[in-house]
Amino acid sequence: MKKTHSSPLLEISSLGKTFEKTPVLSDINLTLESGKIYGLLGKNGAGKSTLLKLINDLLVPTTGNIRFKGHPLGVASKSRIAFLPERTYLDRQTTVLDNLDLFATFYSNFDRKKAYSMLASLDLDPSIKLSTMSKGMQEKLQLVLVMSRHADLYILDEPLGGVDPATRDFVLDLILENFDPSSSILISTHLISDIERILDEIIFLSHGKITLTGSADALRAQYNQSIDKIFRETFKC
Amino acid sequence: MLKHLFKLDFLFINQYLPYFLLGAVVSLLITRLTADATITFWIVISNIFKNLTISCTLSFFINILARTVFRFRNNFYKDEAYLTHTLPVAKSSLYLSKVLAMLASVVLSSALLLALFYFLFPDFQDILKVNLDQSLASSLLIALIFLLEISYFHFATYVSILLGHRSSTHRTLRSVGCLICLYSLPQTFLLSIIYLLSRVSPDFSFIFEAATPDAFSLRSAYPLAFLVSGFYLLCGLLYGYLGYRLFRRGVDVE
Repeated sequence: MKKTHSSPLLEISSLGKTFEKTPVLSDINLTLESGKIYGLLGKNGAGKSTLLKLINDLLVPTTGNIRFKGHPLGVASKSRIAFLPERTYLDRQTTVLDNLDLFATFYSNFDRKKAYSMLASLDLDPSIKLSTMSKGMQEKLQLVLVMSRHADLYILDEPLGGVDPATRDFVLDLILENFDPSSSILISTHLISDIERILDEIIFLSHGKITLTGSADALRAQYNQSIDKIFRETFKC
Repeated sequence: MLKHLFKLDFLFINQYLPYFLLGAVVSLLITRLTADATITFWIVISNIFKNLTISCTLSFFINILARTVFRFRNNFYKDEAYLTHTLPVAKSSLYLSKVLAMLASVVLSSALLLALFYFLFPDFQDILKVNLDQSLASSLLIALIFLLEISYFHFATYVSILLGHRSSTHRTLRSVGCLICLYSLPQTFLLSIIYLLSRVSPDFSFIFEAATPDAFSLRSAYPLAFLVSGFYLLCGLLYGYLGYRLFRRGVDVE
């Protein structure tokens, strides 16, 4: 898939998703550009995970469409998008090494050296079986697998959700150190204070609709407070 | 990529096959060794192992069915789906890999069982010869019908899962309901056709008139066997294609 100058990295138009007549997302219009870190922020149940699932072809849109570099989602887009879901999806009967082999087989842009280096920094033994690892460790392994790919877009759904506060900065640094500045990251979270320092652009999602977008610096200047404060005021119950 | 997917699916489905095979070999050997026993103790042992052999034989296919269904549902709808659907692989390859792994597993299990019975149970050859009119074509036809029906049932299961999971609630219940309809309706239709044919054709009339199993001869049942195998083949192809079309439209993972 050749990148064209006229096509944005990701373009979402009039996207909607309804479950059993209940709209979860409606009229989502969004454009992501290369080289930026986007924060998808919203309360629990706002539709963040649904939006990320739609971008990754894990759900069928009810309305609208998603285009990656000007093309509909497909094999080419999947080879260029690296997705970290909030769930652990690896087979618990396999070893860390088995999963490195699996990713190396299916993703031509998987960097095994980078993976080993990250595993070492996380003290993860490649020969260890996943069934003996805690959920937190499995999540870290998934993060290693995702960040070891040379992708154009990294989509991280609650990457800090299962991580203890002491390790959050370490995980964020791991993400920042291992992402190519020419690619983009879309991070979904409700732990804004932990992540605010790395965000370039903000997308606020509420009740399945985008309520606010803009650059992090511009929003801070406009509201004269941190993104975390803006979030708390916007979404207070 | 299809090759890699097939390998993963095939290995998963047949993960426990060696254990079932070992169980079948052991129980068949003991059954064989105790077949001519005259002492009550060994007659009891022989009967126990005969039943165990039947259980092992059935478990080959129950294992395939359970593991293919489990694999299909978990790979496409549960946590594992987050990896499956984000792999840079065409949807057709994902679906085809499941189908090929299932068919290969059914053929492998059938071949292993036939070989086991043939080599470890010489009487089985005599039973086949008597019951199948001493014809190799007859045994192959029986095997073909068996394989076609198992495959058709698997395809019906795949379509049921795909239909049942189109809704976001009671997905398992809906899938089971779909399976009951998709499997039993064509079977009822087939039985009705056979019954109607039996009213007009002597080739089919014996099936509703034969009083004992002894009256059943496969050679006389060739038209019936061809009709049934053709019907299962048609249903299998139809469900296989329907499943492919449904899968191509996309799925909603949980």
